Amino acid sequence: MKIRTCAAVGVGVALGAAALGCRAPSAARTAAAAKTGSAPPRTSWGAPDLRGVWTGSNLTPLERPEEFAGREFLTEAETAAFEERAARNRVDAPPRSGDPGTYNQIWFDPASKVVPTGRTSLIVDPPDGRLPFTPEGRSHARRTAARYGVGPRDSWVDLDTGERCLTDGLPLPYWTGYNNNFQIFQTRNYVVIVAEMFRDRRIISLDGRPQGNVPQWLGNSRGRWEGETLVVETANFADRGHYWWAAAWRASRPTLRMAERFTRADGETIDYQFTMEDPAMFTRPWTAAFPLTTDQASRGVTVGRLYEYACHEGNYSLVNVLAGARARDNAAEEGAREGSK
Amino acid sequence: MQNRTRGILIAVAVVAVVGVLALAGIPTVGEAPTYEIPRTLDGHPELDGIWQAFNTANWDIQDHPARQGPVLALGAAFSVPAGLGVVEGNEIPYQPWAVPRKKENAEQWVKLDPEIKCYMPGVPRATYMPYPFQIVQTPSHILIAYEFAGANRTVYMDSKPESPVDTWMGHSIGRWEGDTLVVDVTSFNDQTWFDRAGNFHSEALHVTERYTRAGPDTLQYEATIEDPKVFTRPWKISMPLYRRLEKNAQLFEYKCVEFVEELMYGHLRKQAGK
Repeated sequence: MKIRTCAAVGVGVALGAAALGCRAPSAARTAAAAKTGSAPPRTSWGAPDLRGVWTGSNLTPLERPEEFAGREFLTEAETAAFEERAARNRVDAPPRSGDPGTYNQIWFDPASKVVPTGRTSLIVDPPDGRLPFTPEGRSHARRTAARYGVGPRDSWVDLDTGERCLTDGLPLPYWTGYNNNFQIFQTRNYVVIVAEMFRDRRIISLDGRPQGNVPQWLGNSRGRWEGETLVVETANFADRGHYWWAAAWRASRPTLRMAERFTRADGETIDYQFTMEDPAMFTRPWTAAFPLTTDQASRGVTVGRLYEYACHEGNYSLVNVLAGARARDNAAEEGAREGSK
Repeated sequence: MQNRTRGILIAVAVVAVVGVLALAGIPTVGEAPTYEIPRTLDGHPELDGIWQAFNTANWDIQDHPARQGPVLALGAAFSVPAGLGVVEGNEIPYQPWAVPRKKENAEQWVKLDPEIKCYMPGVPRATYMPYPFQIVQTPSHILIAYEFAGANRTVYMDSKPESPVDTWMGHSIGRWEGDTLVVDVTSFNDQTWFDRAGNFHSEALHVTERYTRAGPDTLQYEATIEDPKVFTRPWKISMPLYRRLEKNAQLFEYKCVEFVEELMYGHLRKQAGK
């Protein structure tokens, strides 16, 4: 199964939306590039240079919120309100009684800015900016969301793959609560993306080798240059759809195919987009786009190099969650025994 | 006169033979192999590739006889092969207090070895575990990506960032000494081991690694181990590393967390009837 690239989607669907999502740099970014005159750098062997420490982190939701239905772009006032609301929500509040709460805000590293394109959703296709779930996909996503923070917690497999320190799945570079920097290493034959989160790693070969038959959690990625753009196609995802994932649409499933485009736009920007296709989860392929930046400060997130994330090595949380659930089981059993006396 | 002529003839013959040997790429006495080291555009030896040690050092970095493995049901399939050690002189200079600790580690191997829990293996152990690793070389940063537990290291070549905290894989600052990549690795925690025989270190560990191309498909690897809290003097290990030559060789995922959850958390699963 071949994944339709952005251009092909553009022919079939709303041409305007696809073109905006695929190519058009934002006015602000064009102005910045013109000001600094920072042309996209190239490697010493002449390829577009993707190396650096990047983040994609921003405030814009993947799916278009109801309030913006039918509208692709935020107004300036809406952007300001959106960013202000996010800043206001970033305060520590005591948890409800009986709730152990979650991390303090200091642990989280959310962006303070919406996506520079000003779009109302990261999804650029379909035009309504919503995930085109099949009924089965929608039900899976709802069940996932309903369990979060609620349980059951009978075993480690009741926790999601991130809580188990395995992965949150592709796409990388996608972001979550923290550890949102990625480093790209590049040689003639490979582009390697290392994520700080879970130390996830994608080794993308550029030498035209076949896809092979070995399933992996993050699939098997093959890349090629199409002009200035690195096109990466990923298949051979492991069968891990039976696990719970923090975001159901990111789960590894053998039916999933992904296509991504990385285009170095200027000295500090990669225009990134991904297309997911999976007939079990989605009624049609869908595409999301957002720029990656080396200017982490401009998004309000952590600046600097990648650090070692020893998630599994320090996973006291999982042990404590399960131990707490067992203590509750024992208390309930005790209570039942007392009651029957 | 005659002697001199004979001398010249011999000299010519020697030059001719040496020349032929050199052309054939066969090393002559006292000379390094004459193969051309492939170089990056900035002139340093190219270390890119998928490499693996083929020895039994992960079982025991010292000389060791074959012995029965710890899992009865696995019989010959997971018993311990004999092997040559990789430690120079075969002696690890433990301070007296550390000798019983090493012995206890060995006796409690299955319970204590961080490898069994899918923890990051540390350096130098990651190099000689029975899994490949990949070097991705750029002028400013060299990535060493290990298959086991998905461990990574970035070797900083043109900057020397500080490490704010102890780590499992250490903090790596690299430099070129001639054609050898020298990596200073510091900022370790005290949680990793050298092998399944319980050889250990403290957080004061300092490893100096040397990677040298030894042929088209081999690297010579050396690591000097210093740890003033555990050893009486620095000591050294060395071994060849071999390129994985299979067509389409690739580094796969080994997300071993999934394989240790029952072992680590099984006692916390909900009991039937509760």
